[in-house]
Amino acid sequence: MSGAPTSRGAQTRARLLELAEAAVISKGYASTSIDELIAGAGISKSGFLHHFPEKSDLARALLERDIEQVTSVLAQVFAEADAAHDDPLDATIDGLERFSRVFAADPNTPPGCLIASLTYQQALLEDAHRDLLAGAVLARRKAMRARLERIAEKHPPRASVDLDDLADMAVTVVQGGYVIDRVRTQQTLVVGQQLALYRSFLRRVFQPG
Amino acid sequence: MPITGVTKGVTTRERIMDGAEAAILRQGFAATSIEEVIAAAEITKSGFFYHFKDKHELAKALLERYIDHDTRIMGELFAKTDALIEDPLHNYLAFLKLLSEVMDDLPDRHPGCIVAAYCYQDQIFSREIRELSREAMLRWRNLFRSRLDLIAQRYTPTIPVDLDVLADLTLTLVEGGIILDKAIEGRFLARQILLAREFVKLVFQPA
Repeated sequence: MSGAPTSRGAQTRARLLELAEAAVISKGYASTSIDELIAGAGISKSGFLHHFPEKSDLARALLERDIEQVTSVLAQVFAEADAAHDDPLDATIDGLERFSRVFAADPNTPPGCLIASLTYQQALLEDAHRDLLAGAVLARRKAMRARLERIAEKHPPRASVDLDDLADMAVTVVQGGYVIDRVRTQQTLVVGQQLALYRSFLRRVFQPG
Repeated sequence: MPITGVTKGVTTRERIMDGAEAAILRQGFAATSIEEVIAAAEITKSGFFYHFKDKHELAKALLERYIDHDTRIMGELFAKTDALIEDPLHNYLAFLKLLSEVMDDLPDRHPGCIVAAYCYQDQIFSREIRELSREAMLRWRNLFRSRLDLIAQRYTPTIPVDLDVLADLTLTLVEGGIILDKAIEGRFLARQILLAREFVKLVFQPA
């Protein structure tokens, strides 16, 4: 995480983004109004426009903030896991478990992911923002793929499983899990269960028997 | 679970629904106006209201059609595997292979799942619509679960696994695969379903 913002302006900006993220995840980008954000943050419209002259500036800032936060959480949990284990398989599984615990502690209700929410409203975004979104997803696959390669050097995987697919799966279990949670219970439950399944899948793929 | 069908010789009602569905999957429900749907279907406003009394009735009809369609596709795939394969494990593995092929055979990338599109705007939908989605998601999980129960009667899992969670894996990878495909404009959905298949194999087949 990027630490607490210091100046008053930065605090207001952070508060607006927090409110906007919750609104976009619960009812979508189109239904999120500038007026409700202004009311929520207790500022004037000109105060809002100072931070975000256009709604698309808000979309960009939301995406950037989400990418930065998730990237920083991932970097941290995997750094801790790498420090705790010599074996790359153990380290990756431990990192995923730590990541799951961050999720479980996240009071983010209702469950959901900003990137998925915006993906289902892509046509409302500018091209540059769609690229930003795609870039974030690609970066996560690539990072997982690099970890899987390191594991495969030490533990040859089952021939039947492709490492690219396995890397993608880290993204799909989280995104799919959120959808199911959102539809079924409005609680973050399936994401954690599916991530646990993914960890046991990794174990079986790289350590048969 | 989301599979798109091909519609030929469509009625006006279906044409309205097809256009609305495509628009909602691109930009969401709130941003999709009745005017836009009317223009896409090349009908008049009164033509629209003849079929749907308001936008929410359209939303409900789209969701019901989507759920019915996917339920039917899965029923048809299981009817095929049930006719050919008695062993429950091989039957389920064949089903997942066929499901993956259905996704692979789509002419374009999967356009998106209506249930998922709605869930990310659920605050603007009625309780009735949210309940339809929830029931469908549970019914599909239970369908897979009943198959896994049959497998577990004959095969001992090689790792400890909750069968409900394993049943959810297929739904999870389908929903997640669609989001991945939409986000990076690729086609990975079919391959993700094959991973679900691979996992079921690893769980129940001794190495």
